[in-house]
Amino acid sequence: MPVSTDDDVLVDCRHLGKRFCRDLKRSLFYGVQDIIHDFMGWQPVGTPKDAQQGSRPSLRPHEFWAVEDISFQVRRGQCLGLIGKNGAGKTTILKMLSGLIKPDHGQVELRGRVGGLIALGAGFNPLLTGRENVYVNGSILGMSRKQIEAKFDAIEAFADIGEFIDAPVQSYSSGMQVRLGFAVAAVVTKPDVLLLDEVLAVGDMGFTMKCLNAVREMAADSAVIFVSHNMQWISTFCTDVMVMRNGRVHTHTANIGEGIGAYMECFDTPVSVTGSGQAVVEVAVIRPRGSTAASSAPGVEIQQGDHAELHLNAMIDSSCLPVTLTLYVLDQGLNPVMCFPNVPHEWRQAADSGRHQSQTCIQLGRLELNGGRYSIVAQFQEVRTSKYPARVQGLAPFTIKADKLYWGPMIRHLDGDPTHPLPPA
Amino acid sequence: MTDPTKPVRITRYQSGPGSSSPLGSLLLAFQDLWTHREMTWILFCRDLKATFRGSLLGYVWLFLPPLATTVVWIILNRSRVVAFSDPDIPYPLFVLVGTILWSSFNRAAVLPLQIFQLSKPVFSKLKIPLGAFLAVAPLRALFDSVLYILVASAVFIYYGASLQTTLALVPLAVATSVLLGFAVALLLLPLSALYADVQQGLVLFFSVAIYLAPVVYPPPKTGAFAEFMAWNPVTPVILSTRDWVFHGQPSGIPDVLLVAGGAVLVIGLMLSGMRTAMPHLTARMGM
Repeated sequence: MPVSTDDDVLVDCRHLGKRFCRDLKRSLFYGVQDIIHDFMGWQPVGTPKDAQQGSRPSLRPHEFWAVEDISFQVRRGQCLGLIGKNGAGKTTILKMLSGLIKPDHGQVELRGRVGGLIALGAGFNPLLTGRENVYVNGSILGMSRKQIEAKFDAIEAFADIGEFIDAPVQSYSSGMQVRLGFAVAAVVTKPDVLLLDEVLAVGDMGFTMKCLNAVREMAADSAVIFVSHNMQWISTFCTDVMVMRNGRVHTHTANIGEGIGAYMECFDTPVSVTGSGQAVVEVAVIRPRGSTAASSAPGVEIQQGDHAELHLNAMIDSSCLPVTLTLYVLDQGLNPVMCFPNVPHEWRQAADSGRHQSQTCIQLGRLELNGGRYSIVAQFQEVRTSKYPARVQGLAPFTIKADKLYWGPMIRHLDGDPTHPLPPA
Repeated sequence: MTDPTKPVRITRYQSGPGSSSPLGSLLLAFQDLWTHREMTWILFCRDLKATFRGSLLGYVWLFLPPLATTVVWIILNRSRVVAFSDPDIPYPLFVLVGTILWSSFNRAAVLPLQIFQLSKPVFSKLKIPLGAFLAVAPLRALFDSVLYILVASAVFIYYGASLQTTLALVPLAVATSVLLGFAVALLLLPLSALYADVQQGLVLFFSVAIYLAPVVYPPPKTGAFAEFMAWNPVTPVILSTRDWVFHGQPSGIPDVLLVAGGAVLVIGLMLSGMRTAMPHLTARMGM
């Protein structure tokens, strides 16, 4: 029964599901059970007795669906980015695609040769020389000695580790080991279906670029499934994005920006307060300038390059005054990407004496930030003593909407693109 | 890149039982071994080189264990610690034949489980022919046995043992021991992959089991233990080999061939079985 008649669909997943068990001993027992069932030609454990072929088995005690009812197709020339938090089921899908583990429900159909840049340097023995290990690794990847011999120069040139090729691999730096492993895989692998799992984060920048080119070359005529936590890579490479959440498809879209946005929303930004506690931030709401939306829900979206304003209400012990206010914009990884020193604001005597109050609408100007999720840090510092009455992190989380992610914290379009007009000089 | 004239290979993985016939998958398992013989050889060379490259004495180590065992038995025999009376056969030679075969069996049974453990990271990430990886074990066991036999032949010459034409049958006995060991290992492999008990138990088993076969003493003629030893598949191999080596009698060849055939069948069944079991093992080993 051919699932798909379209020759260009190289990967076709239908209702893919995989059960895992949290309890180790039980999991091993279930493994024995599954093997016996498979040997005897019985349906998987938990399949309803009166059910038709292909109906979903139930869960055994302590089991959960690590991957549940996943369906997607990848055509030749497409690159599907699989993203999601750790444990969302991405690697499990890749393992089912490569036939390493068997689905408990549904099926995968692959057309052509399946290859991946996975397990770089498989079979390397640290005591053997790089040259000897190339043969071992190449052989494990399915090459004959002759084929490896024919491609050895290409591998050596790609790895570019000079005379180390004849030194034992244990004398290599970890970067060099990866270079050699990647070189073998890249030169040897010529797949129709290419599986990539976080492989580009290897070596130094020069080598990364080399890898990137190699992967592009491989990917040009194949269907690619790309797992990464690096949204820049996803944005650079993928034609489609599938966001996984708890084993299920959360979003599947050809709009990369939207997909990445959905991924970013999987994370919440916790508020943390440090400092002496003499100042308190009561309200912090960011929104596009002129927007009337009053909510400070985590779903605040600002188009890349748009003006934004921050409404900040704070209370402070009068004894701390005068203070300066500094704002930072932090990215998802809590790296500061923008700083607003000495933000103008005013304090007024509060109803209860001894405290001052501030209600300010701060114009932040254009947020020419890369697409992604951000939050604000507000930091008060006493002018006289340099002490910090408060530093509040994780305020007013917002998303910069962009169609594409670029390599840089700040993005400015200079090409006169009408959707991104140049900021006034 | 894709040649339009070539039929496209379609791979399908689905839930539920596989559909291949037992005989078909048995043949497929052997075919797999043959297809990947070069890989097995490369891995065998890798392990051999690696074992000795990290050591000062290097390949000398290959000869030391059989040499040590032999010397121990010669000394024990000289000092009359062990009581053994057979006017035809010097005791060290008697033991040597037993231990060569036993160590072939032992090595071939223990190595596959070790290789499997060491290669787990590869199995968990790459779809590779398991058989080709495991086949390194019998190859290595065979290689070690050949070295052992080289050491032993020196002892034979020293004791002035006469050369029988039936000595030519010894390779059959060694191969049978190795096949038998490999079969035992494959029988234990699925469980050993999931439970660490198996490997631990195996070490214990072999330290005791050497006395359950006629390795260092002749088999008892009567009693329950004699009965048990008769059923031990290693017994006919060792007894026949002694006849071949010392008496020039080609006795017990059918028994040895039966053991070898049975071992090959078990190996085939288990290798094809592992193809079915492997996805489940990979999922449960959680790597």
